[in-house]
Amino acid sequence: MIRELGNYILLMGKVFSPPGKKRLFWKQVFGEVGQLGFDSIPLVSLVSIFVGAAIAIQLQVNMDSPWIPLYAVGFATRKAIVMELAPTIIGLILAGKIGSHIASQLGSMRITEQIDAIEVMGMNSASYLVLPKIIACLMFNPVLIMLSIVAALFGGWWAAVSIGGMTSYEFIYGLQSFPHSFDLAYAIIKTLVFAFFISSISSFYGYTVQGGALEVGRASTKAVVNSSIAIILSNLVLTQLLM
Amino acid sequence: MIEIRNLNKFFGDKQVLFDINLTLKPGLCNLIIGQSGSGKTVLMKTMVGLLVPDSGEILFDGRDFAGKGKADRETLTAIRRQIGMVFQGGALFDSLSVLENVVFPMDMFTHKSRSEKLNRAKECLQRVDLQGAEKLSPSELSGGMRKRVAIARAIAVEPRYLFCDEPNSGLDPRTSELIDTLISEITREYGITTVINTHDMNSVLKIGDTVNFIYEGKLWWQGNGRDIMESDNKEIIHFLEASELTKRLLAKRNRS
Repeated sequence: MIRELGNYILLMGKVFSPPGKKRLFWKQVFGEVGQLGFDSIPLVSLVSIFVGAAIAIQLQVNMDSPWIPLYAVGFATRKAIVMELAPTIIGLILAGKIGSHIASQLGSMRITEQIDAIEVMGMNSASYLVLPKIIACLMFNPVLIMLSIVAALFGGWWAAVSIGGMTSYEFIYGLQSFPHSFDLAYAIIKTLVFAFFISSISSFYGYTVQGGALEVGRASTKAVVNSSIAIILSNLVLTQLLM
Repeated sequence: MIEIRNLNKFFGDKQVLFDINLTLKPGLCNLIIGQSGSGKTVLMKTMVGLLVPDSGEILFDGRDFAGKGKADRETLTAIRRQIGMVFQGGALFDSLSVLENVVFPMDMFTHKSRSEKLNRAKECLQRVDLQGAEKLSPSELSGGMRKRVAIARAIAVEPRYLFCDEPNSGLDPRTSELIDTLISEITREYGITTVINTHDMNSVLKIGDTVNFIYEGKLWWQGNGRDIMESDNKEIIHFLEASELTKRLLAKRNRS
């Protein structure tokens, strides 16, 4: 465990050294934005709509009291989605999707000597391969989380109105009640931290694979599990620090 | 010229290279031969800096990079830009087409225009007889074609040193011979220092300008492709007998 942590820190030291030609570096970054970011839009949207709908229904059922105004369902749905659902739950889902993609891609490159080939050409393979992935995740994961918030709020509205029998006005009034701009900043800060953990931890396990196809599979699993653990733990720390 | 002096390499407590002293000459095909597990690949990976030696020197035209300091890393990077390497499986980038694979090292280290790079890449592919394969992806290539693309990529930046790790492995005899001929021609054409790891005796006899036999991590014998057949060293004879071709030649030698 300590050795793994040490190797992770050493790899990050190698990753954050100046990249080669800037034009090629940014080309690589935008390629990763496509693969890691745009390709995740359908999954993030789908999950967010249905989880947003489930949250709205849960709240509606549990807040069914004459003492609680109906619009409170909209307000609580917004709070739950912005503060936890979008950054944390979607972060965990992205750890599965992006994490396994990164680890298996780099792992395959390692066992087929493609990473060695880059090194022998005189390039810093860690910086060339890993840094664009980290930057792409830092750039695009906040966009995915914003999208997730919009999709989940839509899902909540749809469920509350069509299943729960609320009026659109009541739900939207609740969504707009007691605005707190820091909520969004809080979600973005968490997203950036999670994006770094997902991309760097997965890259570490993929980049350092030794062996064959079986080890690539194991690295992929380790990448997802450890990224998820890092998200859960850092979520607790960040919540304590930021609230 | 590449000179290796007193090179030792350990993996944990196990020593895999023992005090290797070796000189590899320019304009020649320098072969490193030996059984699987004898330390050939470790030696080659140490020579190109993928593994760090525990002691000893590796000099490329007098420049040493075998240490771990910053200056050594900078020397290593400078030397690596003059190295072309053909890996055992080709190590082509799956996400790039054949042409882009050959352009890749030029993109990184040359200031040529896009059209110059494309022309050079096409020229290299033509040199390895792969004109027309530019748009294919590596997954569409046969083993021999992959090796040829890897050779084209290695020579694209006009290297001074060419390293080939088991260039004939997994190839049929005809394709294997073509690859040998190609490497030998390129070595002479460009006057580069070529280092080839192999256990293919056909290659040894055909293109081995200098042959270095490694046994259990030690440099056991040095000579050329023809001299090796005259050796009466027990380990070399044992190695030669594993190949049908050299076994026949040995039998012929013993009869006469």
